[in-house]
Order: sequence, then C-alpha cells, then structure tokens
Amino acid sequence: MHMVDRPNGPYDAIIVGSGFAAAFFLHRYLSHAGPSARVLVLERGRLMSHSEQVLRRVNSDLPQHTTWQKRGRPDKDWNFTLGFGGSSNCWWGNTPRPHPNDFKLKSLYGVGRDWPISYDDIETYLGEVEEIMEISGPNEALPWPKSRPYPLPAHRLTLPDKLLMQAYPGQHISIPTARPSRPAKSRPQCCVNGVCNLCPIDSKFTLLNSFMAPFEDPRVSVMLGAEVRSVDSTGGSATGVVYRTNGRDERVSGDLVVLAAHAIFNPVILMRSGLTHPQLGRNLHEQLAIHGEVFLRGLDHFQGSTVTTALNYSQYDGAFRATQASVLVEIWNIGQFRSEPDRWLQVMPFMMKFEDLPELRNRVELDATDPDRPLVIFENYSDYALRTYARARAIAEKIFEPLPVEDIRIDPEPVSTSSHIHGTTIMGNDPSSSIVDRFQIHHGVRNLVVLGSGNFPSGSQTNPTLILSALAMRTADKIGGST
Amino acid sequence: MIDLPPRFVKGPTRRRLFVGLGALVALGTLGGLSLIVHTRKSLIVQRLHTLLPTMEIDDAQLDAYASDFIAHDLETRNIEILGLRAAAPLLYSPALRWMMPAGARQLLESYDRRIITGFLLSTDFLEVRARGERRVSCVGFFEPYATPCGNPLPRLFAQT
Repeated sequence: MHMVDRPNGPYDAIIVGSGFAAAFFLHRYLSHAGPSARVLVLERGRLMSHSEQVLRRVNSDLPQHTTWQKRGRPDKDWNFTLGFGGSSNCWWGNTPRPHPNDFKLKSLYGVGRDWPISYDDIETYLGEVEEIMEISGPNEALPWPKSRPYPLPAHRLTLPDKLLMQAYPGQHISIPTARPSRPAKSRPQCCVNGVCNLCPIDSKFTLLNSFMAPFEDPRVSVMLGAEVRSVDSTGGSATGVVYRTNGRDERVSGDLVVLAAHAIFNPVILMRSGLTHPQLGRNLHEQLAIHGEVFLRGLDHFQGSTVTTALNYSQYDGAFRATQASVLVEIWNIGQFRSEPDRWLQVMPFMMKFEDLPELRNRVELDATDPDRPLVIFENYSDYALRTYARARAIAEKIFEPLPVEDIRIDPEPVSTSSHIHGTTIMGNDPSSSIVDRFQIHHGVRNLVVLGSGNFPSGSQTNPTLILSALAMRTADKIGGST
Repeated sequence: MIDLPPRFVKGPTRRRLFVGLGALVALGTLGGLSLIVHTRKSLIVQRLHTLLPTMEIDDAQLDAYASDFIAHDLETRNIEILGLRAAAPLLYSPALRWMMPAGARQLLESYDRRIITGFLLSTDFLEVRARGERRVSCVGFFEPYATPCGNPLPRLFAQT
C-alpha cells in the first residue's frame, strides 16, 4: 500500500474513509479508470493490524465515543469503528439480503419512504459482493429472489431451527454470513467463539484480511490520520477537500470527491461545506432490537456451526406493515445454558428486531460550542416501532409456536444499538426531499458522491453492509460510464 | 440453687424446649458465621456439585475451574459485591427460595447459569456424558482470546 504523509494533488478521485463503502467503490472505480489514474484515500484513524487489535482487545485506538456527543433518549448508543478498514473490523458478518418490498414501503404500505431504486436494480451487485466476501448461505427457498448461489455452503442449523424451518418453509433460513462455514481463501472456518466484533482467529471477512487489493493498487495513495473537515466547491462543482492532520488544516484538490466517512460524519462534512439542506443529518434511525430466550421442553439447542444460525421472516412482510413494524428474528447459537440438571442446552437465545421509520426529529447536528464533535440527537424510536415492540412477547409466542416452549423470556430493555446507522444523507429522486440521487450522487454538486447506509431511506431489518457495498459498486459503475 | 418461680419449672418438657431453642440459636450463629467466611471459590465448587450431582472430577480440577471463573467472570463479580456471596448458601436453600422476590431468584439463577455455562464450555463434560461416562476433565477455561476455538459444541455436533 502506497502511504503518503503529504498528498500531492490534484487527484482524479479523493475518497474519504476506508471502510466497506470506500473499498467496494474503489474496487469498481479502478476497473474503469485508466492506468495513469491517481486516487487518494484519506482515513482519519490509523491502521491497526488484526494481531494488534487482538492484543489490545480493541478495533481502533481512536475511541469512537470521544468523537461525537449525544442527546435525547439516554440509553441510545451508536456503534462503529474509526480506523483503516472502518466497521469491517467490528461487524459481526451477517449478510442477509433486503426483501424486495423493503424498497416500496410507502407505496405498498403507506408508511416511511420508498427507495428511488428497486431490488432488481441491485440484485447482481448483491451477488458480486457475496462472491467477494465468500458468503456462506442456503440455496433453497429464500425470502428474496437470487440469481446466483452463495459461494460457500450454509452453516449447520440447530435442532429448533430445523423445526422452525419445517414450519416456515422459505421463511426460516440459515443465516447468510461472512463467517465461513468451511475454510475460505484466506480465512479459517468459524468456530463459534462468540466474539465476532474482534474474531480471535480472523475468520469473518474484513477488509484487512481479504480485500486490501483496492487499496494496494499502484494508482492509489493512502493517507492515515487525515480527518476530512469539508468539501471545497465552486460553481456547483467539488474541487477538493479540507483535511486536518496533526492539528493543521490542509487542502488537496481532486476532480471527484467521494464521502464514505460514515452516517454520522458524512452529513457533518456536508454541513461544514455549506451544502445545507432541510433533510441533511435528519432521519437518523436503526432497528429497535431486544434479546430474549425460549426455554424449551425436552429439546436441545446449540448444535449450530456459527454464532447466529438462522433468520425468521415469518413476521417480516405483509399488509400488517401499514400499522405494525416488520419483525426479524435472529436465532443465536451462543448464550447462557440452563442450570437444571440434564436441561443445560434446552434454551434458545434470540434477538428480535423491529423496523424503525425515519423521523426528522432524530438527527445529527453541528454543535457551535464543540464543532469538532457532531451532536447526535435521538429523541426516540418511531411510534410505529414502539407499538410493535410493546407486543414483543405476543409476537415471539406466535413465531415460536412450532417449538415445545416452556417459557419465553424477553429482556426488559432493548439493546442500546443495532450497530446500523441509517438515514442522515437520505437518497431520493426529488432534490427537495433528499440529499443524494438514486446513484448516491449529491443533488447539487454532481461530482460529489456520498456513500454508506446514511443514504438508506428506510432501514428495514436488513443488516446494511451487503446493501451499502453493492450500492457503492453501482455508483462506481455509473461514474465509470457502464450503467 | 436459684429458686425459680413455679411457672418456669414445670418439668422436663419445658427444659428440653429451652435447651433445644438454645441449640438452634447456637447452630444458627455458627451457620451464619460459616456463611460469612464462605469463600467465593468454595461457593462455585458447591454449586457445581449441586447442579451436576453425578459428575466425577478431581477436586483440584474443580478448584482450578473455580479460580479461572473468578478471574474471568466480571459480571457475577459485580453481583457478589452486592452481597450475594455471603448469603448465597442460605438463599439457595429451597425452603427460602420460594419466598424470594422474582428479581432475587433470577439473580441466583443467573449466577448458576454463568457458572454452569463456563463449566460446560471448559470441560469435556458434554462429550463424556454423550458417551455415557461420568469422569470429567477440564480442557482449559473457555476464554475466546486464550482458547479461540475452545467451544466444544461445534465439535460435539459436527456430525449432526
């Protein structure tokens, strides 16, 4: 990797950030670029090798909680990694596809927003990302159409999973995941150690262990410790960025600016650039999630071959979404066993996730008193999510009806974060109600691209990494002229 | 000899009652003292013997597991700071347990579950049991960064 201390512009493209969105954009952008193209990647954090992360038990030496402030619902948190590789370092590797109806929430059910694209628009890109990540997944009936098989076989299910699969054909599926079910090209098989945020055997796909090629391309220069503060633009055209390094603000020029800094920092960079918009920073949302356990009568659990084994879509989509949030259940293959003799394994942990809707009141702002740290204001989840969450027990009882259930226990409080951040640079066809267009290009500055899950008009239930990676490749194709 | 009022000396039955009550108080005091001096390690060992009554294991191995558990389990360390450890043997008695508020019962159950989970992941208990045997050995405390693939369940169920 060609590292630079002081960039020497102009560049053909400046990419801000080095996480999933940046990597997949760069991968595809380079395939269109000529041999003399010059690309600069500016990363705020530094590169921590996997072994250093494991040694220090952290994904980054830049603690993310020191970089932003929060207000609103006290228990709400947001999770991500700042550093080279971004949140590929801390993600858990779940890669379900979105449901086609997730893109049409408003037109089908009258709530939330529609996406300006359809499932079909990104289907082939989803498959390409799955191929690169060597996803393990099932090839039988799925809740979404799929044009190519998963590269690796599905993980082994648990016995309760198998019963649920029989009861819900095509709606209870082995989880598609970047935790391999057998050795991948450069990674060992998942061995269910339960600490996927920093896998000690480096099993899950990360940019560091499997996708460095885009950054190692000789056309690419990487600068670490460079925090992009704003985008320079003139006459509706981006001309470069201002970045801070060692306490000094510097400028570098480029023909194309790509913000892939994260759903909290992308909007703040746009605000500092004077590219204000009534929707910018607004619509912050993610799934409302809660843990629970099914106590089973005479049926053991924990036979699976990865930490989360299955997804249940039986309450995911239907006319009920007009008034009730979509619910997705993850079956967990790690957790506390039971203490009663001979019944140790008769408990099935799960996580239940409720779709939240974007609302203007939940937002990221610049704080005049502390302009270096974005203010993240999350007043509360939508009523849509909360009223469905209030029915969590009844929904769980219905979903788990096919099992020999002795008791269902649900945690009294939701988890503080699903680690998925959506909505702050929302995507749409109408420039008056969205920040970027259907190709993630800024409505007002046409050589400025904004990537990541901040563009998602609705978060649905789906883990965002697969989608945002696919969207990044699609954008690179658009810019490269092949779409 | 002190002359007691007649109402206090009605015969051997009442004397036995007093003696019995005295003995109970003494035993209770001794029991209370034993609770206070109960070590964290012995509590874990005792709980494992109670929860896994048919298991055979060397005392030294059980002791080692208890030490490892104490070193690694930060969550229950916090519970114990609240006073659970000293009172636990008493609280665990079935006679008293039913009188507890649900929250306290859950706390004890949670403690047991953490002990047993750690134990089943740190020993060959499940594999031994699957073979119909009783003699259990520790294979290394399950701590993902020390023994990354130490979880025995994926191996145990590999053929299912």
